[in-house]
Amino acid sequence: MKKALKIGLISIGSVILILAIAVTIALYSLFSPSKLAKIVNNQADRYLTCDFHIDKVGLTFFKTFPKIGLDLENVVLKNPQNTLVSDTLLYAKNCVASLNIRELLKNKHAEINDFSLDNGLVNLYIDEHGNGNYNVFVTHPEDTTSENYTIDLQKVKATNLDIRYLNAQTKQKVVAKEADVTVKGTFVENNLDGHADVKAKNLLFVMADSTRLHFSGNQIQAAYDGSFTDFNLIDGNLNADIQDAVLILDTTHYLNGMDIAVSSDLQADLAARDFQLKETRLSLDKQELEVNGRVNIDTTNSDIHTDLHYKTGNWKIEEVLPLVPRAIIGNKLDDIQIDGNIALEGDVKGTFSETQTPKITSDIAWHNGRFAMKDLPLDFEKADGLFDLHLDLDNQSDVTVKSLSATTRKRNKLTASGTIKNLLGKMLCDIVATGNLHITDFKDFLPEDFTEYGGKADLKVNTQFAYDPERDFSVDNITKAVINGQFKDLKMLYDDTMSVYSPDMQVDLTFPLTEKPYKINEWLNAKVKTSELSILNIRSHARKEIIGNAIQLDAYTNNLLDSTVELKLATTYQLNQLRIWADTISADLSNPQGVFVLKNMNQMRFDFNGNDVSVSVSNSGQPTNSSKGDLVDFTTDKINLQAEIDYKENEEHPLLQWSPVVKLQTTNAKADIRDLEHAVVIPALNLDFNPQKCVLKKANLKFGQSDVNLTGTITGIERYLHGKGLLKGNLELIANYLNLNELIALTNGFGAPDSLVEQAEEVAAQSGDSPFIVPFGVDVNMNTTIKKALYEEAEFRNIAGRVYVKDGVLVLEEMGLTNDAARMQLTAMYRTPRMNHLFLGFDFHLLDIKIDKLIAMIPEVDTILPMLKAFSGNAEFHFAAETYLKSNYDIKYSTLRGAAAINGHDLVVLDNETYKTIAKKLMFSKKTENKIDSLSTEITIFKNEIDVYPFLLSIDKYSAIISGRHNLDMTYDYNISLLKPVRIGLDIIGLEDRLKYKVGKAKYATLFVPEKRKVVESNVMELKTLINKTLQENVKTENGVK
Amino acid sequence: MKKTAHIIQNIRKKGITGLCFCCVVLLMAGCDLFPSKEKFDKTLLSGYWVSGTVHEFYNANGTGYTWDTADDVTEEEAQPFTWTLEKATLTQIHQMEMGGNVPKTYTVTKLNTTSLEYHDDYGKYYTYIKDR
Repeated sequence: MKKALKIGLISIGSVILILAIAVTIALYSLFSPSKLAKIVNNQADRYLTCDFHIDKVGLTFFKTFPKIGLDLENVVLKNPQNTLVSDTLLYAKNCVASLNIRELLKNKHAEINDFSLDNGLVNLYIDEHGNGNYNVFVTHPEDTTSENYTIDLQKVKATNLDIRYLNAQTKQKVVAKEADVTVKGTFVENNLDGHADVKAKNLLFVMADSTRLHFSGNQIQAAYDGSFTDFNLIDGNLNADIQDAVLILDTTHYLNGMDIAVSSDLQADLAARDFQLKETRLSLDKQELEVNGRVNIDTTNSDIHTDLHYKTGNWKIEEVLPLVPRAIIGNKLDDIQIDGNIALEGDVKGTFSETQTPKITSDIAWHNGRFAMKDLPLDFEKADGLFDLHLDLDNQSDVTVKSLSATTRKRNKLTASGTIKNLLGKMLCDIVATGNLHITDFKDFLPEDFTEYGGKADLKVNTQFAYDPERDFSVDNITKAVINGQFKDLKMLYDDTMSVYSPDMQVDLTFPLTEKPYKINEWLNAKVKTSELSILNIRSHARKEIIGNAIQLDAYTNNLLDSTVELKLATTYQLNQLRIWADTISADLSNPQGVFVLKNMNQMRFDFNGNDVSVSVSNSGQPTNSSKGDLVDFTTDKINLQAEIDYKENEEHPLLQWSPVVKLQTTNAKADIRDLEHAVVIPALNLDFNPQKCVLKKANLKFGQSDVNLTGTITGIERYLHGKGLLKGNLELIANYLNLNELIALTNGFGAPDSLVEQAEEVAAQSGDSPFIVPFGVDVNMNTTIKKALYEEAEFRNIAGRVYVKDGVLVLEEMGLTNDAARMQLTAMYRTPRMNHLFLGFDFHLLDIKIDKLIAMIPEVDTILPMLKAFSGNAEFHFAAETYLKSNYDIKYSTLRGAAAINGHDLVVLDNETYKTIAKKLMFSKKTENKIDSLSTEITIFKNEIDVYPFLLSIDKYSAIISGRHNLDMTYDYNISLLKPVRIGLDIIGLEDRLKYKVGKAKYATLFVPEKRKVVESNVMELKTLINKTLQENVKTENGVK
Repeated sequence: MKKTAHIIQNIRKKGITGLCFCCVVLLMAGCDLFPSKEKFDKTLLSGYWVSGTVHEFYNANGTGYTWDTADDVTEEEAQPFTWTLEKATLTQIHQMEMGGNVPKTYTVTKLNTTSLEYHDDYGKYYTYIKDR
């Protein structure tokens, strides 16, 4: 069966082939090439106005199979118009056309079944007047039939065609080389519908007008499938690929050898210049962009109205950025490295004209990015961000950072969100950023003075600020910034010396501020809270450390970042405990709190309030784990300290440099100073201090046994510290009890000149002596009212009088006092001009004193007047003396001067061995009553000599004058001149324990008988008067009259 | 009897001796061998006098001061006195800083341009030489 079918088909084929050959031979004999060339040239002449030439025209069957077509060779159309360009309009080496002649002639329908053009040249030219060289067709205005022609382009193909187009009027030039064009479709009544493919090896488009545009590309492939109605409406699908595209505008390269691909469903109304894009995809070096929407060019003013939506592919930034013309980005990215994937989607809406630009929105997604900048020490990795961009060049462009996160140095995570308004102008930024940071990774951003860092920080920054790229960024641009930081194990090392550590710290910063609570131009508020903060000098051999516990600060400063203004600071502070070690001193403060205000680097205010405050100062340099320091412990139930400091650089004295103005109140304070025997208890203290004046409003002090209330004013502080005047004080001292021994020890050496201090140290080192040195440089007057006082071992009562210290001189002036022995008045002076030359002078007036008590109270009296111990009873004793002392208080006898007067009444002579001996020598009756009516004597002391001036003594029936001298070595030379009942003298000489008695003549027989007084006796009496008179001059009577 | 005569002879001898002694005394007194107190020129007292470590300075105007270097006292720290010299009686009245006077009376036995000697009533003698 198969074999029969095969034979049948071969037979039919052979018949058809023979038939075709026969027809061909018949046609060739009828239409030979020479005859056809003649026919075509004749017919062309009817339609063309230019020179033309066709070398050869033949019929072809195979080329247009199954239709028969014309095969033209070397077709040339020439239309010389300008000598500068070629006169060839068209040249084709070979042209084949299959045309339905019958349809053309009968139905006026040009059915071009097949048309091809090979190896040709099209040279189009439009001159300056708009005349094109392609207007070569004969027109017949009366002939309207041509409008009825239709063209059916089933296959139009041009191969290896060079196309040149030059428009001298618009200065445009297009050159396409080795172009292949294929068109399929129909052309009916100016309506073209079909498919066109265009390929070219090269394409060049140049606009030489003011635009100065250059575009070129290679391997161009374009395909259009759709309609072109009335040569106006385009509706079809366009695909185009161009390789190595170059776009130069003016001198700027916008495309530089890139591959471009376009795919679009295009609808266009060319007359209305209206273009609608659907499913439009652009590809630039494989970076894809999808664009849909509409573009309309206003025919009246050329404004471009856009309503486009675009969406990119997932672009790799490192691939996209090189595509961005340098003309656009300039060198802005030279110092920036940025990569990752970026995708954009948004709209372009609005009019592009000389006055308007369309609005562009874009949702930007950035994934897995990396960012680095030349001057930024950190690289950011794993960046993910979502942004909304609203670009409005006519008004305001904004960008919203929906989210942005990145890591730096692998372990630090940062996030940010917010808005940036007016992106292209003065930007207004509202950003919230967070960071989970390892501080050591940000060392480069922190002050260089800090050399080491450690710890973690959780930061949240909420900031609003303006940024103008045209101007340097200033903190004035910041309208709001809130930074919350939580630090863990914060460690910093300052200057390789000071180590700062906090286990946890909360820092909340806010700036700028509108509230000005301290009026220091507040800009920043910092709230700091930490459970512990320690600052340690790691280089010091001695311990230098500050540790604070439970610290809370609420600090305000002016603009720290403005280098043109100096720092102002105000803060409240509250701590549970503050411990300080500085060299050999340590301090421990419990519950300090208050306010510190630094108005500028020279002026500051310090308010300190505390309950149960304690300060311990130790010289051990070791931590005081207990509350006790080994130097000073100060405690107070309540303290209120207000201090203002005005630093004056030109001042030399440290205190005046700070010029403090202080108000201090304490309640139940206690200062336990180890060098003092007793703690100073201060139940109440209220004082105001400034460099000119210190007002003691109230000072209740308890020191040892002493309990005093002190009020008054101290002035001249500034002049005193300048060395130009004395420190003047006018004080009122009221004391229930005052232990002068303790007070002397307390005030020893205050303000002494350096030379004297050096002497004191030297003497103390050599001999261990440490005499009391009277304060120098002070003029303090103190009115005292003391109920009880203790000096040495004597207790005095009801003391009232004036005490003043004036520049190294201590004076007790007319102090009235009482004790068990007597009522007393004391004026005394103590000076310390130098360590081994101390002056002591006193004028001591005792009224109604019991002699035995007097000797007990002042043992030196027994030395001055040893015979006094032979008497019992009351006496008035007046003793003035002065001497210089050595550093150990030994008397310099060469300087000893003294005068004394003793007046006694109703005395009793004690019956001791000396009295018995004298009575025996003078032959006193055994019945002699040993009472004395009166006794009045004057005594002088000069060096080691004590001279007892003659005094009259009456015992019973005996009267005697006693006089003489004894020396401080207790050698005696006395004389008793017995006047009654007989005149006889008794010399008593020798050492106290080996006295020799010698009866002789009475030495002063007529001393107390003025009319018989001899010259020598008169002189003696004058001297007695002189001694008495000068002693009395220093006595103030009880009513104040001498 | 012999004893009585012997006693009488003794008394005579002693009486003659005593009488002779009285005559000698009277003769000496007549020849001014026991002069009353000598009168010294007080202008000679002006100036510095030194006795060992003790220094005294007398001003012509009746003031002066004294110091003893043995007690580590300098001239600037010397203590003042006023003085009078009447015949041979030198009176120093030492003035205390706080008021009060300490008079001291001496009898001058020698005063010239180079030497000063005086003593007090208790037998204490002082010898100074002129210092400058």
